[in-house]
Amino acid sequence: MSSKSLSPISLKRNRSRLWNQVTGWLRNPVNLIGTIGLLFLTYTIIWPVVEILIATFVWKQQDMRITAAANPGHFTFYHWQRVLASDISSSLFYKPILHASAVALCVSVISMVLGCGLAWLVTRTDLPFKKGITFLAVIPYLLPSWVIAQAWLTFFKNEKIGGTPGILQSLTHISTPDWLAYGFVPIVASLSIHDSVYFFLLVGAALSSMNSQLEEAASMSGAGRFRILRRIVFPLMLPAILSGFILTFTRAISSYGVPAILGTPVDFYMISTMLYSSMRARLTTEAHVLSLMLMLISMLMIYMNHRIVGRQRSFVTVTGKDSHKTVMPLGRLRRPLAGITVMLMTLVSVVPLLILLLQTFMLREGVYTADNWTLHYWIGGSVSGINSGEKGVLHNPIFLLALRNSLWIAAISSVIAAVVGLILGYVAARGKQTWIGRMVDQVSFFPYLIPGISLSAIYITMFAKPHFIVPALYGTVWLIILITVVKELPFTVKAGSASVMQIGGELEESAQVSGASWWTRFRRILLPLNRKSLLSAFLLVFIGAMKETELIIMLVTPRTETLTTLTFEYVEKGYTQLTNVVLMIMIAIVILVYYLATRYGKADLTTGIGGQ
Amino acid sequence: MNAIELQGIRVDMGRKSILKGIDLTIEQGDFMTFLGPSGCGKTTLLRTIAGLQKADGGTIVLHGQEVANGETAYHMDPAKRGLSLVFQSYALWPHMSVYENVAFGLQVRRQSRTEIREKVTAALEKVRIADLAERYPGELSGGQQQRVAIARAIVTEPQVLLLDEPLSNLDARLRVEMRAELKRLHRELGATIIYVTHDQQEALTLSTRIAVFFEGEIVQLDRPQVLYRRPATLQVADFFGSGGMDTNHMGAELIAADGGRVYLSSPVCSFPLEGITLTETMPVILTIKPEHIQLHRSFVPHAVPSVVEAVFPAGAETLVKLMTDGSELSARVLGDAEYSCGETVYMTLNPEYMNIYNRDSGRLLTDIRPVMPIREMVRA
Repeated sequence: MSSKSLSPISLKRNRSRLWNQVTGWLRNPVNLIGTIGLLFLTYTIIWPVVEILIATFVWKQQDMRITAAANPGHFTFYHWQRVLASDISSSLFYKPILHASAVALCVSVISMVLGCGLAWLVTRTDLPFKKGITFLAVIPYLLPSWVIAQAWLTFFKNEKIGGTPGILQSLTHISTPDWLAYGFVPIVASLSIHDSVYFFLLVGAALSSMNSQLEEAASMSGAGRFRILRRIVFPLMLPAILSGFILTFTRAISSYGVPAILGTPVDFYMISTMLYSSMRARLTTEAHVLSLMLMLISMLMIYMNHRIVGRQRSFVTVTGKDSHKTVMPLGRLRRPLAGITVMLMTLVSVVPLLILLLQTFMLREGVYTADNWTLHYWIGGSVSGINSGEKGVLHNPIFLLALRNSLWIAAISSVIAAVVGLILGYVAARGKQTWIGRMVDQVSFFPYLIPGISLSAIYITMFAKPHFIVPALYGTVWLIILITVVKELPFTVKAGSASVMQIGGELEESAQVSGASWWTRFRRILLPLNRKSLLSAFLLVFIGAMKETELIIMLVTPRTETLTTLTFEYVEKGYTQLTNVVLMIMIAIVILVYYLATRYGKADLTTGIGGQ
Repeated sequence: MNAIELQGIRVDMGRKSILKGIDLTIEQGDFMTFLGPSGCGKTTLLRTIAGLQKADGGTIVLHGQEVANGETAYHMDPAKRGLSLVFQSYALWPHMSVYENVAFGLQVRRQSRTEIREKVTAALEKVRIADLAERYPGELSGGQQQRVAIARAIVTEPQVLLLDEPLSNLDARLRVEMRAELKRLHRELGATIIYVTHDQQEALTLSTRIAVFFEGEIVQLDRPQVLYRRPATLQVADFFGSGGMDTNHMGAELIAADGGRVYLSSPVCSFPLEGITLTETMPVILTIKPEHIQLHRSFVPHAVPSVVEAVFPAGAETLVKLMTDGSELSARVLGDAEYSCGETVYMTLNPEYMNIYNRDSGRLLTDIRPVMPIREMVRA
């Protein structure tokens, strides 16, 4: 048949071929779900970022008040110039970014040393009390990062910002120096304590999945202990270490709670705190420029990670077989090392909590006399002399609202995030060969690059008014649920795809040949086999949502107050004891859920934390 | 009616062409084996028939109904094709008991509870593991898992049963046992079976017909006996010759003698042929299987003397490596015959079992026969 003369028959043939191709393509669950998922991801991630990017190049109505040159709706570099090259850019951008980078770098290095050392001790040596040490190491992760900052302040506070001085000064009557009480040093210390757990979990998982026969083989070839560490163990651990480094760096550079508590009183601003105050000062567009810069830094870090690790990432593989393990005897150092480790771990994970707990029972801070003990802050009524008449927490309707909101948000978003993560993870794992699978994999990773505070700055603008069929979500818990789900996608999708990947495609194919629809396959084969991973993702998101601060602090309204934002409000008002009471309740909930999930659900936090 | 008709099946993966136009007709009740080395496309073809892989070209017709058409991109869902597949890995669902595994397909079809119970029990009895119904796959041995996989495949009474290297994960003894089981099942079920394997002996034992695959094409399609005697190409002969069945190769020539008669001339033998006319000498390859070489302690007519190089006793049979005029041959002798290295023995080759291949194309010269009875088998 010549190609030019299309007979009606061949036209019909062609149409049915196209029809068959389209329906055939859509009948593949990977493509159908992938398309829906991609639309969702585009709407919630890509589009907002693009919209914000465009907005930074456009004059705003409120710019008219600042400069006469403003021409609302038209293109301009004004906002970028204002942030990057104007008389205020030093305090608005350069100083904060310098502070943030310095803090992030120090935090990453310190966390790496602490986390890797601890991981090595726990997985590769005959250290006693390993289980207890592991539990102690995970505790800081279960707390909002700024709890440690709060405890730090309670201990080291001096009279500079008013209020009662900290425990140290009360006991010794020596004024705590400013550098120890506020700013760089305490910020780095608090964040390092909190973030070293990522290294511990990541590197620990990589170390324990490494077959020690690899080391033994090197040792048989005549390599010494140091050479084995340098040539065998280190290269194999490199991907995990780098992932941990990127994770802590991006988290630290965009952390908000800690610098807000420890930095802001002494005008030590980081990008995130500057972003927040810009937002509060109605410098929305400038705040967006800051967000974009923060995203750019995160992307650069990830890009460098890919360049360095490259294809080596595939090193850390989990084989089905339990590999044989030999541990290194610590000899005479065994007991002293264990003692020191337990002591240090207790110091960073238990002592801060005890300090905070103790404080909740003191009517006035820093007064250690018997008549100062009270339950007022837990169950008391409104007394006008104390905290402007704010009631004891358990009688306070605002607290009860916040508690309900927090539980509701954490429960709903963790269930949604875990299921969505598994479904998108399925597309990413099964569609590895197709463009749609790879797109879903990469786009779902994107929120990882967007610092929480930037994402919320974007979402405020985006969801303030109705959009297509989506109503104005601002002011409802659904916005907070949505942002939590989106922000956790990189972890849940990664965990989901890793878990689906371990389930051979044939298990599903044999169900398919038996006549099962995709939904039946998902329900009867995939869901039960992925139960553990699903529960881990649920746990990860639940804890994340319970302690989330950065992400939601700008989004909450009095009606959607959560426990974290309530505590943060109390911190700002200086209601120390009330803050601590709420914190204690929050921590109790998180630890209880963690315990139940790991005990009865065999959930494992490490599966999702990788992020890479 | 034919159970399965394949026409011009093509499958590409990326730029690589996995199947290059397969034409094949499988009759109702056939035990058809796809045989070939790994990567030859046999499993891909099986998956294409099952519907797990889309055909980029060609058509598949099952029992008169078109289920796939590469030209119109038509592709029927695997579930609707009325066939079952047993995977190489068995693919048993680890979170379901044996009973639940087997019952799954019936539950999906929404059959009644009592009907399901009856059918599952019958299927489990058919593969003789009725007592394992409540166990989980993790608690079973490889052979038992295999039986569960087969029970799961036959419980829905498919008209076509596809088996993808089902015995390759079993140890040697179990494999022989399961072969007998499969043969019995084929007889009892009366279903059409397509069986994928790379094991020649398995293929010879089980099949009614064998399709030999190389690089995405069927190079030979025959009954096992024919395939064994007359491999269509040297490649097929070598493939059948591997794994303890080494086929002997010898360079030889076809010589046109006066009077139009053609002679085969080789280092070990020469004899006249019929069924061919030649004008000039033609280089060929002569093959003969070790079991078709007889060894004698003393000279017999037409025998060729050779020297024993090595002896490999294997109990029921003994493989003897021989050297004759610079070419190495293997002979298979029944029983634990005692030969010692360096000993001279006399071998006779039966021309009936020799195959002659064109040296350049590697194809079997099909019409050539030795002139019977052989009168002038002489040493070259």
